[in-house]
Amino acid sequence: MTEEYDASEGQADGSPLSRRPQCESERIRTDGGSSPGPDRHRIIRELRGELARHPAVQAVEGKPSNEYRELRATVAPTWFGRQTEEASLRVAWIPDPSPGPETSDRASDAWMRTPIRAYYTVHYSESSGFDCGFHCEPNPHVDGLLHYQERDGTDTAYTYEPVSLSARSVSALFWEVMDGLSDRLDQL
Amino acid sequence: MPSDDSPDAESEWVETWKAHASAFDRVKSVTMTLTESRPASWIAEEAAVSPNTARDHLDRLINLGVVTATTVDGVRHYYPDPLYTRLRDVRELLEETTKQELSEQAAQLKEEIAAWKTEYDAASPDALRERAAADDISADEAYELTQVASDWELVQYRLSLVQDAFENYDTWMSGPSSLTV
Repeated sequence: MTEEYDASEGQADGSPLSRRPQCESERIRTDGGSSPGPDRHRIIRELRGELARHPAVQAVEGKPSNEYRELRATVAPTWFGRQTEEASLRVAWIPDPSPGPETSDRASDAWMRTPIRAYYTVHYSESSGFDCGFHCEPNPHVDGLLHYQERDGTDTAYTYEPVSLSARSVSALFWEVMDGLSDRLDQL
Repeated sequence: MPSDDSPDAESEWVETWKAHASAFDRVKSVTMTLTESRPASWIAEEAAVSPNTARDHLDRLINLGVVTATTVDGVRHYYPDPLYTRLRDVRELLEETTKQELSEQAAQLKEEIAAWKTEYDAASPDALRERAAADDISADEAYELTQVASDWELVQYRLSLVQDAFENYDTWMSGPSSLTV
């Protein structure tokens, strides 16, 4: 980074829109190189489109609305064979987190069972209190990152299970996860 | 992932995806979520289309200014056009937000960044990532620092979009044809 963009401080006029030179992560890259903020924003926006295409999804929006840190969707529980009144989906994505968990003494947390280097979450919740989801993130209950977790209600503990996914792209992985979610819910 | 031409049985999720998204939409979606440039063969496999179909759609996306191409070791690689994605994001802000709301959003985003600087005593997201990589940091702490660094970078990007939209609001919103990219 050549120059820090101090976005918390305005210039002399004190306006929140005052500008300073942008840091490296905000500059437009044309060489296919990665820049974390724009990459995550672009991926979340594209996932919004994939969610909108999915037959289980009734509505989807970015949260918080002015930041797009994650997506929240209203889904039809009947599509998953569930007889509850309301259900929702939370989708989060942090592309290529650096440093990864393979650094230092965290060798047991290496990316395993998924070709995509990212922290991600696709989590389904029902109004009944039941919730479950696929998570690729550090969790002390699971060796490695990618796992499925489920609980019957907010007053019960999660059960955790290592799982594998084959998709190498974000979009394909979303559809693979939704299929996995459908299988899990169908087995309940 | 099997392609259109593959004799292998497709996974059920591939069939579901193909039933709800055209080949063009799948190629576009796979390409728009890349974090590094990829050749058409890679994109084709992920989008469940043949390599020729992928190349045709990628050429169309290049002509539309959505995707860029570079040559790596003699092979054409594709990546989302950063200028297109930025203009798309700014346009969405202009369509959904008033000038006053943009000003309020900018203030809120700056407050969030200021709060992270204070809470973590860090000048930038990079400082948090460096801290996360230290040997004496636990996995839980490293995960939290990485998440905050990513949120910080995202908010910086959103702030830059809001500032662009605000500064050019009067120009770009002055007529019905002014938003055409």
